[in-house]
Amino acid sequence: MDRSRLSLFLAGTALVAISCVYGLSAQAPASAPLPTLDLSQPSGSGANNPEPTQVSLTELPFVIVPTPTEKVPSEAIPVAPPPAIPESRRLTLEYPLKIRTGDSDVIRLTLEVDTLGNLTPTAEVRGNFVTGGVVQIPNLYDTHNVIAEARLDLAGPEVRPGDTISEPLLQGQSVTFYWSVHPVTTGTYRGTAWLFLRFVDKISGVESRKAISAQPVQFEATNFLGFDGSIARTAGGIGSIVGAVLGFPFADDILKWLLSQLKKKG
Amino acid sequence: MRSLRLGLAIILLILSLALLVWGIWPVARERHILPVPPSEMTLPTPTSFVPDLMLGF
Repeated sequence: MDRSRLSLFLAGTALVAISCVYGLSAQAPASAPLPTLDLSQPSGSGANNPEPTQVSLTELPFVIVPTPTEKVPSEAIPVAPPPAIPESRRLTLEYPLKIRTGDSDVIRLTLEVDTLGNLTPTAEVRGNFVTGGVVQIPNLYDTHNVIAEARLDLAGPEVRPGDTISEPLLQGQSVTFYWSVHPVTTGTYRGTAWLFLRFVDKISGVESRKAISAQPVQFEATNFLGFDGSIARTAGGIGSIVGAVLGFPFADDILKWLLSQLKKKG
Repeated sequence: MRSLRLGLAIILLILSLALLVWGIWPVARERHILPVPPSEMTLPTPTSFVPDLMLGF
């Protein structure tokens, strides 16, 4: 009976001792320092903090275990060039430097094919090396509907059309936009002529828009002795006729003849 | 009387012709030509997706 009690006591003591040993070993810190990550530091600041710091936001260490992966090929993966319009173009903006008040004039923006400036890419850059060969750039006209859009931002004078104008851009063809400008008061007017290209995917219908150019436009609205364009032309025409008649050498004789005719009728 | 008429006619003619010439004289026009290479007419690409090599860094 005493033996069985003694053996039971020893077994219990051994169990308690084993439990204590495992418990202490679980609470003890690791002997080797684990790589830690300071989450309070922004990424990329390793140059200023070369030594790893302890975890500041959590007590648990953040361990990154590398997993074996397949060998990454050292050669760069060839990236297909994005589709582009296979022609060089020329954008011409034409506007008057002066406009008579009351008159209207035209501002013209033309996107035409530049026949002299065609570009054929003949090389591609891979790393630091230039390898020969023609780069096949997908034709954007094949995959997208291209629409040229233009807008004239001009404060002051009346501009028609005032909204954005759209015109389909076809391969090898030019597009031209016209605005009619009508200043009423004198002054210097400044504005911007915008050109955008809108691409509509032929399959998915997804649209994207890109600004091509924003060119400044500046002109001066003038008058002459306070007369605007139409009044000056009318007054000039009538005045020239009257002046010519008055200055005519036989004007006296003509006037006398006219007066005599009127008296006879009276 | 005759000299007065002639003087008036000359003044009127000068003024009228000046108005007429100013009213019909063609104005100078400005022309700006900007070449647009094909690289400018590509689909818009978000900068964050462009590889560094394409940006020239």
